[in-house]
Amino acid sequence: MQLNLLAKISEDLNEAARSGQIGIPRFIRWTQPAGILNDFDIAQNLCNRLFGSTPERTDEFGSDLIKTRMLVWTTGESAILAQSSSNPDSLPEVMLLGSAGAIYFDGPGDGIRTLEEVVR
Amino acid sequence: MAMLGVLCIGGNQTHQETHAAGFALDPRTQIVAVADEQGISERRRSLNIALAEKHGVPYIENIEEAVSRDDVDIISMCADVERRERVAIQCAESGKFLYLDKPLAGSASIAEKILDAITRNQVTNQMYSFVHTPWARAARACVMSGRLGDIKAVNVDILFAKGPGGTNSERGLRVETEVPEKFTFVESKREFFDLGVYPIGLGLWLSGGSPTEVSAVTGNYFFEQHLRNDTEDFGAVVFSTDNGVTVSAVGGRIGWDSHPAGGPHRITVIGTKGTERFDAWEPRLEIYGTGPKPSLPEPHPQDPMGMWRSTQQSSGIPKKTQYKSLADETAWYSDDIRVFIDCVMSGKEPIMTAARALDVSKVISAAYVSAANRIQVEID
Repeated sequence: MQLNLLAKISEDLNEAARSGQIGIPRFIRWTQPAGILNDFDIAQNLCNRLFGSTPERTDEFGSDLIKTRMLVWTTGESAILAQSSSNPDSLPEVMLLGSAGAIYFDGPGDGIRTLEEVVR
Repeated sequence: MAMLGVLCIGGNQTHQETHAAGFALDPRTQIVAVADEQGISERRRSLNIALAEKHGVPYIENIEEAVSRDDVDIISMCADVERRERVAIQCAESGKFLYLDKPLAGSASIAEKILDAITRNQVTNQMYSFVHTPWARAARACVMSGRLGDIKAVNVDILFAKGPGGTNSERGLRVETEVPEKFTFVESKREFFDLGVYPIGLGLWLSGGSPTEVSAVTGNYFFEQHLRNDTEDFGAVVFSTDNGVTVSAVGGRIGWDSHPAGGPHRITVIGTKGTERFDAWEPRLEIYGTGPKPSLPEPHPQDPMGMWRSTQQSSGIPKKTQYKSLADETAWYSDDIRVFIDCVMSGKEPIMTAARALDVSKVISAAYVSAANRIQVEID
């Protein structure tokens, strides 16, 4: 994925969250393909901007191949940043929860698989 | 063949409302009584009686007497979490088939005692979970097919978009309790405990492993009622399993306006060969128009969060109309009960047994310790 596209998504999320429609930003779930330069820098910068500081706690799980990072801020906010094995050109998936609303950015997933179970 | 008799422990404004409806729907079972302990609150007693009246069966104020009735084959146990250890063990000692409310208990140590009683009495048992939903079954089929290669991570979000959100504007790290002891309130409940059980259970089941290390946070993000009662409305946990999978699970209650349907219900399975997503609301129709839009009515004084079916109906909470999923969500409860009855009749072991649910309770208990002390916690 082009880094400037990731940065554009991050910028738009920041703008939407600051519009006041979702209240105070509280939690971000961000999942992006593995192999992006500097890993979670763009996602973490978005969190830091929205939550107003850097996290007080960072716990990392997984391997170099697929990492999952849990972040907690002193002001109570939290985030889970995760890598997937999607095509590196895939868009990220983001769920941003605010005190009074939410913003979702769905990359193209394979939810259609569920259809096999729905119609059987 | 004679119908199996079901004893319901607990009543309205517990999960028994929907469990009882599921048993009443199945042609192989009939509800024969509602029961609970003596000495419970008058409020709980009257809500239990209301469920008994709804199903036209007697209300028995003595667990021992109720479970030993000859016409009881299955016990559906929804005692308050604070009384669950005593009541669940009493039910297990009866040797009857056991359908259990979730989570199994208020802590992993209590869950172990319940499991001991169930194991000792060789009781066929199942805890309510989401493993029989169409999207969870599809995720499991994906894992078992091997098409994603070795599974490396499972991400699960189960959040309920119910209740009037946006009422808590305070910031600050929630001061969590290592071992919560009070769970039952009218206006709120511990949502990571009560709803986190779903994504944690799904994550463990799909990973095929047992939890080893846990990192978690809880929060008061959306509702002033939860803040007032010192109950979290949100929780997020990441844990590793003994077979090398990382599970992340997010559970809680967000406001009614925060999602076009019942809330984010999503599983993402990540393997060495690819990633797939399974979502309760996919595939779906999306409906937009100038017609009347459903809105949240004045909160019910006995259930402002819209937790229970009876109060949802009496306060007139409408069904949201923007998403129309092809998978009918109203079947989730009855499907779980139907599969349990299948297991009872065939002798097959259910998926979400108390033994499996114990691992879920271990994650929840470790998560509270992690959130309280802001540390990563190892599970023995």
